[in-house]
Amino acid sequence: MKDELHTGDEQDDVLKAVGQLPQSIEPQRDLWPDIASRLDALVPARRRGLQMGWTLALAAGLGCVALGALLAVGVMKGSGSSTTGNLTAQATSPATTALPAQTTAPASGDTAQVRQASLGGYAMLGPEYEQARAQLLIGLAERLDRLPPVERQKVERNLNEIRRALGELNAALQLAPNDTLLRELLLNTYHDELTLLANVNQIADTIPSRSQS
Amino acid sequence: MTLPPRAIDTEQEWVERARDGDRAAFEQIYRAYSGKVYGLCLRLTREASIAEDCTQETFISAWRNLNRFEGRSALGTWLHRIAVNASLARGRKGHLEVVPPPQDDAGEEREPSVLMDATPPLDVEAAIESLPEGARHVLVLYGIYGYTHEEAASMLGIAVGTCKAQLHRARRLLRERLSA
Amino acid sequence: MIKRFFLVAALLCASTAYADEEDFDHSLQADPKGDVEISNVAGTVNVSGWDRQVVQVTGSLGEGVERLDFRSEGKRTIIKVLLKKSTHWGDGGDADLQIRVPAASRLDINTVSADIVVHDVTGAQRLQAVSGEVTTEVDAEEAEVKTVSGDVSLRGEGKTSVLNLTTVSGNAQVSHVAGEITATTVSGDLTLSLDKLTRARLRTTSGDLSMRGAMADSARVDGETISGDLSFTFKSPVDAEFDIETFSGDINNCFGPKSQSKSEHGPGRELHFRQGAGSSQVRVNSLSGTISICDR
Repeated sequence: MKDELHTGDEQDDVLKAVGQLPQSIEPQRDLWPDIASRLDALVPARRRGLQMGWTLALAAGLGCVALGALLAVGVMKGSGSSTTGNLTAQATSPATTALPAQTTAPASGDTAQVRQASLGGYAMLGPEYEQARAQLLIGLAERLDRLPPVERQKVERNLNEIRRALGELNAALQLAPNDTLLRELLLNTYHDELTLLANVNQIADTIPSRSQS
Repeated sequence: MTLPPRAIDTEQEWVERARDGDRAAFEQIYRAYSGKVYGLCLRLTREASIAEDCTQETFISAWRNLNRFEGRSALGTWLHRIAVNASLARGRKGHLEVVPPPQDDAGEEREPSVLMDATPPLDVEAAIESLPEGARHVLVLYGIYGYTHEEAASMLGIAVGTCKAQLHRARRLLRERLSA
Repeated sequence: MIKRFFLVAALLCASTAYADEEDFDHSLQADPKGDVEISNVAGTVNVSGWDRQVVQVTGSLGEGVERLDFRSEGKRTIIKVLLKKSTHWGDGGDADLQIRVPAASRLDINTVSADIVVHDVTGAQRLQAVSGEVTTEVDAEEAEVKTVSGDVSLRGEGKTSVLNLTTVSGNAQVSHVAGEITATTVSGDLTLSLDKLTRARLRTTSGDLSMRGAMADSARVDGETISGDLSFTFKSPVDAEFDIETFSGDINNCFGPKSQSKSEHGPGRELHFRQGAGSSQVRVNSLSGTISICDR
């Protein structure tokens, strides 16, 4: 990375103005707590102790039809310690609201025990969930394009609504990591996001086509 | 196993300790580079919530792949490569608009650009945000972060010639919009 | 210039109809319990049942419409509006269709912004619109309605059925439905007035929900919201176990028992009580939304 302007570009006033922009922009909130939570998910299952029964069938590709045929409930893998480096397949963590300042120094007792209840991200839900979500997201942009612009905005707004909810839930779990209500709401809301993605995909797929003639 | 916290002087030490599982050392890396990673993600994706996601993914991936960081490039450059990948994977097409805040059906307004709060010059940042995706990506990497055409092209997965053409386009569009 | 043509019931025909053939009248014989699939982009789709074994389509097509595909394939009748390639959203691609179908037909209707109106059809319905409004009467064992932002108005006949309702931001009003209902919305508001409920699964992210109805014996009601307000009014006499829980919302209960803090130091309130013999189960959760329970 270079901090100086490229040689020869000084005469270009546009590039000069661009080069004066700050390279660093701080996020509106501290992302470290969420990152740390997700890193906890990479800890082997035997240290986590969080057992949930939830399986997600992979979305039926681009031709997903009804949600009932798309998603199924099964057993969530206990370990999120996938070592895949494939960034394009990585699920993204939900947008979260501002969190209270969190110390990252190990708390007394088992840090993993304290952190385990905060799901803190899609990676915690296991590779099957991530695959299903990634599959739905692959087609989403294209399908959103099929919708009228106003509707596309509404879908995006509502997706953000769900992600805000996920953020609120994750924030609440920071305060009460062992709260079973929160965990249930969180899992259901992750499911809601998948449901919305699948529904949008399905609705967009059935939008009447234009004549080929 | 996490070592007891102690003074860490160099970035190289942070990386070495983080490779050994030292979370505190990795947090130092985060603190040092979160602004630059987020700044890049934000300008590439144009939406704060997505940029936050990409920033998180960048550091998660960095943690997982620290053993692959050989130090041949600067740590910041390596993180930026990961960030570009994350942003492109989450990227929306250039014509998608910023999602407006929840409103009734009547009177929807676009949410102000998240870059509006950036330091001056206000117009330049907003003008960059309005550029088509390909041109914007190249301009951000080349013009703001100082990468060469070769580096930017490699990060974006495009040919160097394409990179140069996109930069030329970006400069022309930016000049038009700033003078409007 | 709007093309206007009429397709009148008359002949047996299984071939595709073209809108630009103005002197071409179409109707198709149809199975009395067959499937009718209708697809339109903008305009209206108005479907009514009748006692003839014929599907009749009348209407008008905007300039942006290339043609109307109207054909039958075995027991399926297909009515599909095809737009010209050059037609963009809101650019003359309207089609107003009045369709009469055998009353026991099963309907499968998809629109983008076209409103859907259905009445006097007793077969199962699967109605889907992006922004179009859906107004329907349900007199069948099952119905599914999905919209993104279109509002839904659904009236049942009080017969036991399985209803599946999904909106993203559209509001929904449901009345005189009995049996099982699954209603999900992100930010729309749901107003449900139910006759005899056996099972209800109700979810909102931020939308509000108001449910009023009677519970059958051993009914099960599950409600969940993140930040919406949920209000339940059960017809007396109420015979149910209630489990209500919220992290940071309020619980209002007119049956008597007050909610309590879940723990001495932490957030969260809960309310568990039994009304009557407790044969039914009502379980409602929220993160921050207000939950209200009452009888009438």
